[in-house]
Amino acid sequence: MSTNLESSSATSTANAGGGVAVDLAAVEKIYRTDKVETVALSNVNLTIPGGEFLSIMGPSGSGKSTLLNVLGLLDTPSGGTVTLDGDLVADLNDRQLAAVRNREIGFIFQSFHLINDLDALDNVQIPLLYRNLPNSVRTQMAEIALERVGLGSRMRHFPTQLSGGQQQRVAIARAIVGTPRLLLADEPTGNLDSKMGEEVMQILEEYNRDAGVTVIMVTHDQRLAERTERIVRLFDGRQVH
Amino acid sequence: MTRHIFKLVWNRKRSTGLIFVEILICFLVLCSVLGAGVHYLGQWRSPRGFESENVWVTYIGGADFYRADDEEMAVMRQQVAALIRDVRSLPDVEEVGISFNVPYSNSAWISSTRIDGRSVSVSATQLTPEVMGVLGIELLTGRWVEDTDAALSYTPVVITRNLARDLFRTDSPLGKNMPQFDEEGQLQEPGEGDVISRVVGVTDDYRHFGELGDTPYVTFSGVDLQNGDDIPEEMLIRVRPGTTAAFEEILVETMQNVVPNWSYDTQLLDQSRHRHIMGRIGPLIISAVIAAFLIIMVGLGLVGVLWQSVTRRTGELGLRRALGASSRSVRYQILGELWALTTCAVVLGTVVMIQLPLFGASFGASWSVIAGGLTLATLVIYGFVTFCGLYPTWLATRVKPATALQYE
Repeated sequence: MSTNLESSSATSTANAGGGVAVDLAAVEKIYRTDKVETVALSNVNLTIPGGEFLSIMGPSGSGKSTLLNVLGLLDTPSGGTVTLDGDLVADLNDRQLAAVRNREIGFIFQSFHLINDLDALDNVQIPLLYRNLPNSVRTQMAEIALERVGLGSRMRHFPTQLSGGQQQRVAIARAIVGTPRLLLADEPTGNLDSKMGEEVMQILEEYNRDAGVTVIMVTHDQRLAERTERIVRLFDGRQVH
Repeated sequence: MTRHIFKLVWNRKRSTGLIFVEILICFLVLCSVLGAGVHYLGQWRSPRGFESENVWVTYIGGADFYRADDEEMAVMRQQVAALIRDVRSLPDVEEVGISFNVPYSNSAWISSTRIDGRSVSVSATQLTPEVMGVLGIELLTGRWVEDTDAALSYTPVVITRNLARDLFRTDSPLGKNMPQFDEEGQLQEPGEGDVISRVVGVTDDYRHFGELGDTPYVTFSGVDLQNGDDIPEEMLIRVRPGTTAAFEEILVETMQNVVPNWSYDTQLLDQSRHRHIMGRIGPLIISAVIAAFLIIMVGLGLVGVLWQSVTRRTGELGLRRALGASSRSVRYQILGELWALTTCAVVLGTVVMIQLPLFGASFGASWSVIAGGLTLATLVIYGFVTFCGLYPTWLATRVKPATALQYE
C-alpha cells in the first residue's frame, strides 16, 4: 500500500489506477469493557474488486458503521485481516495509515462533519493540507471539486449558510478532492430529503462510473441500495448474505 | 498549513479571545520583568568607576560644622586634620580622604548644565585629593584635584568621560571653562566675581550608586580644609587587604582619642554596597515572584482552556484524522494554533511596548533594554505556551478517529 501511496501523484486530477480492491478475511471487532464484551463484527469475509459500487445494509447496531470504520482504516479489527490492493493494513504504522487515508480513501458522513468556522472552499481543502501542496494548487483543486458537485457559486459560504443537501455536497467535494480510489459513504442521504438524497446518489454513481472508483455505501434505504452492484447485509455483526 | 491555521484562529476569535488575552497579559508582564532584568544586567556589567573593597567609611557625628562660627571652625579644621593624620598612621591603613558624598550614600549635591539645549543634572562631588587613591578612581587625562588648588583664581574640576564627551564633543576638555547659562538657558560669559570652573582632568565614568545605578554626569572638585566654609563629615579609609573587622574598634578608639566628644559611625563600603544592591534588586525579585505566580495562574488557565478546547473539538480532530492527519499533524495543528495566537499577542504586545518610550512612559529604559526585554519575553512566552500546550496536545493525539467521529 505504501508503494501505491508513493506512486499516486499528489496533484493528479485523474484516477489512472481505478478503484481499490478490498479484501476482508475473518474480520472480527470486539469492544471490551471491565464487565461487558460487545461483538460488533464477527467473521466478516468480504472481497470487493476495484471499481465496484457496493452497499451495506442492516438494522441499527448490526455493525455497518464499524465495518465502514475498519474498511476506512479508522479502526483496527480485533481479529482477521484487511488488505487494500493486496497490502496488509496491519503492517502500516500511524503515519502510513494516515497517508493511505489521505490519498486513497474519501469519507462521506451522514452528519457531514463540516467545520463551521471554515467556508466551503476551506473545508474542501482540508485533506490537501496534509499533502505538500502550494496554496494556489490546493485552492484550484478545491474549486474544481466544488464545481463538480454543483457548488461553484457557494464556495465562500459557511456551512451554516448552506442547506443540508448543499452541506453534503461540500462533504462529497471534500471526499473526492484528493482523487481517492476508495469512497466510503456512511448513510450519505440519511439526513436529506428524497430529492437531495437523489442528487447525492447521482453524484456517487457518476463518480463511480466515470473515475472507476470503488464506492462502499452504508444505507438504510432499500431503493438506493438496489441501485448499487451488490448489497451486503449485516445482522448482529454477521454477514447474512 | 500556516495560512489555514491563522484563518481558523481568526474565524474562531470569539472562542480564542480569552487565550489571546491571557497570552498578551503574560507577554506584557514578562516584557516588564525581563526588561528590568536586562536593564540591571547591563548596569551590573558596566564599570562603576571606583572600588569598594577594603574601604571603610566613617560618618562623623556631633561636629555640627554647619552652625559653627569662624572661631569654632578654625578649631574643628585642626581636629579634622588631626583625625586624618592619626588614622593614616594606623598600621592597617593605606590611605585616608574625606568627601561630601561618598559612594552609595543617598546624599548628593546636584547642579545643572545644558547639553543639546536641554537641562541635565550634574552630580558635584567635593573631596580631598586622597580620595582618588582610596576609591581607585581612574584618571584618563589631565590631573586630579590638588591641595594647592585653593590658591588658584579658578576652581579646577575633574569631570567624567560621559560629561566630557557630551559637553565638549571631540574637543579636548582640558583647560576649558565649564559653560554657564542664564535663567533662560542662554550661554553667558562669566561676569566679574563669578567663580569659574575649569576642567583640569577627565576620569572614567563614576557611578555614585554603584553597579545598579545610572551613569550620571559628575564633577569632582577639591575641599579647602584650610579656609573652606564647610568640612565633609564622611571619611573614606583604604585598609590593607586582609584587615579584619577588629579594625573598626581600633579605628574608633583612635578617633575618640583625638576628639572624644564626636561620634564615629563606621562601616565597610561593601556593606553599603550590599544594602544598596538589595534595595534595588529587592523590588525586582518581588515583582518577579508576583509575575511568576501570575504566569503560573495563567499557565494553569491556559492548560484548562486548551484541554476544554481539545475536548470540544474531538469531532473535528477525528475528522482530520479520517482525512489524513497523522498524530503528529494533529499535535502541530493544536500547537500551531497556539503559536499563531501567541504570534498575534507578541505582535500586539511589541507594538504596545514600543509606544512606551515614544510617550515617555518607559521609566528611563533605553531602546536596547526594551529590545532585550522583548526578545527574551518572546522566547519565554513561546516556550511557556508550548509547555502549557503539551498535555492538551497529547490528549488530542490520543483521540481515536472512529470514536471521535461519533461526537457531534
